[in-house]
Amino acid sequence: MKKEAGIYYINSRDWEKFLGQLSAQYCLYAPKEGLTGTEYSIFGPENLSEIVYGGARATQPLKCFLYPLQEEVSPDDPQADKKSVVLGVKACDLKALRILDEIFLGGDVADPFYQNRRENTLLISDDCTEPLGTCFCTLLGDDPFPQEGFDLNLSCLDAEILVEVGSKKGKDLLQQCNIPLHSAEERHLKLRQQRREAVVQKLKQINKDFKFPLNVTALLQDKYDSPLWEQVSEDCVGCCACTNICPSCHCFLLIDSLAASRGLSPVGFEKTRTWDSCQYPGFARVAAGANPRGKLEERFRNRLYCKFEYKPKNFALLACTGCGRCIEACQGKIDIREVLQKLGG
Amino acid sequence: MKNPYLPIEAKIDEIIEETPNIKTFVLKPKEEISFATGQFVEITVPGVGEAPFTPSSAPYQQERIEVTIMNVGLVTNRLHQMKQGEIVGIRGPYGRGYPLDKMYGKEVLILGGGVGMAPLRSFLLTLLEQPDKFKRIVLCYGARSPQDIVYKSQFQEWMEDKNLEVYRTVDKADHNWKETEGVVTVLLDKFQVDLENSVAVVCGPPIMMKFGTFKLIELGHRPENIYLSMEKNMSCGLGKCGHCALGRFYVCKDGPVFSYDMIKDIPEIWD
Repeated sequence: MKKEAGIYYINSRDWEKFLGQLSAQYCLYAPKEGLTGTEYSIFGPENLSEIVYGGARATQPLKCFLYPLQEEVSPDDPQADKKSVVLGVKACDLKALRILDEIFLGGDVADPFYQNRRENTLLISDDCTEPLGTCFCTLLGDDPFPQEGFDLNLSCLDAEILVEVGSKKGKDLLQQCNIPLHSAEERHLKLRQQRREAVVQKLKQINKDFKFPLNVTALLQDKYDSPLWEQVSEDCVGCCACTNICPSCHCFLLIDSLAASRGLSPVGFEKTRTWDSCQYPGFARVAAGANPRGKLEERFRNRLYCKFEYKPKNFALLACTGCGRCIEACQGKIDIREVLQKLGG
Repeated sequence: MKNPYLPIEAKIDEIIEETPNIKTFVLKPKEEISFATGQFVEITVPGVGEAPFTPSSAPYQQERIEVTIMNVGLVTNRLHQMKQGEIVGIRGPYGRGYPLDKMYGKEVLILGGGVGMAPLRSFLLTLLEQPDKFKRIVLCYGARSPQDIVYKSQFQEWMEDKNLEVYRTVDKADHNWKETEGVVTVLLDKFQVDLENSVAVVCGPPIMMKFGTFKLIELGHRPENIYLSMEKNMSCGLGKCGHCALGRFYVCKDGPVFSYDMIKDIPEIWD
């Protein structure tokens, strides 16, 4: 993504007009109040006022838009969906996207399905303003406001919205809509800075009881054979909610079905992929029966090593963003912050 | 953009019974697939599933790809029921094969067990195409019993090949067996190699890979000169689906052939 600079302010009425135009050309997804917190929903001109700005990350991770729960991967030529705009993405999800990009766009061959969606999805992020009790990005050295990886980023300042351009796509989007743009003034930037700092303080308050070293990779270095793994995983029921809801977990299962029986082709290779999880007992098992991670605590350990050691070694990025979704989703009430604290203690 | 998950149709041209539970399938893909020895392919049984196999034929033979398959799981069981003329899917090749360029001019020691001979056969045939480029080629092979030995007729040719030294053993001999009896590592005591100028290539069941590697280390082979074909459940082949994770590596993309020094500190390599 080409970096484009520029911070503008737009008044809220003009912004809504802008979104009205966008929703005619794109599928516009944004968060709104739902049963589980803010949840992504599709928006059109009629319900734009229900969009929630700021707040915390939505219940669904961003990956849902780029890498659906299940999709067919057998067409000859992957077709692009209608272009989308996802609004209200938080810094934690943008960070997770860097892992997904490394996996699906990197390596010897890019994944054409992910790539199509990625290229046809515009990201309008915004600053986190109300972190949840499970949020802990600051404990991992991250900030609750986006600094890169977005096309546009919003900071709501009362009656005005500060729009930061993060890419050429973002800049073009702003320019193609005929709304008045004003370069941000000193007072806007100062207010944005103040608000951002206040959110960082909130996060510090939320996490004041959790203490583990910032460098979790170093923390794990000599913990592989620790007897603690059995203890920290003892409440795990193996439901895989943590990996499903994780914004950076990318593992999947390829399933073959019989296209020929549906008259699709004489032989027909019909393949579907569905999210999979390293927490399932059979995930790493080979046909002859060997299974490197047959025990629950081995699978639990693998999840943490993947996030805090393997991905950092491969991509120089943690695969945990501190979004806290796994804490919220856990049936066994396992809090990854407590796990790291116990391991570090 | 080409869809990397979509297999090419391949006709089963011939089926060779190797042992009671191992068959070699000769496949004729609709489009040529060129691979390097040690790379693997994914074979689809339509509607059933897909599994990874390293071809047992040499890369120079592109129009007929051979895969030697033991009947152990869902996909291999269905493959074993298939007949000549039926269609399977094939996609690949994937991963990194045997680094031949690091072996030229050296003594090459091949250590195989059971159906693990399949990728080693491809490798060996590649070496035997250009025997002058290697100082010496030694093949050590172990099977459970004489009837479990794969490539029986080809072994006869290999034993007569002056470019190759062959040692074989079986865990349990029968009354006709004149060669060694015992686990495959005992073969390594039968000859000397120039440790300063040799490589070892190992493939077989996990337990054999483990003790084979330990024995090589004990004999003074250096970890960086020992190459292992790792068996994990490679699925997408592209380093994306996560199934074949081995520590920080994905076997499909970073392997399947690793030098031992790359992976020796990963706790779960032999599991």
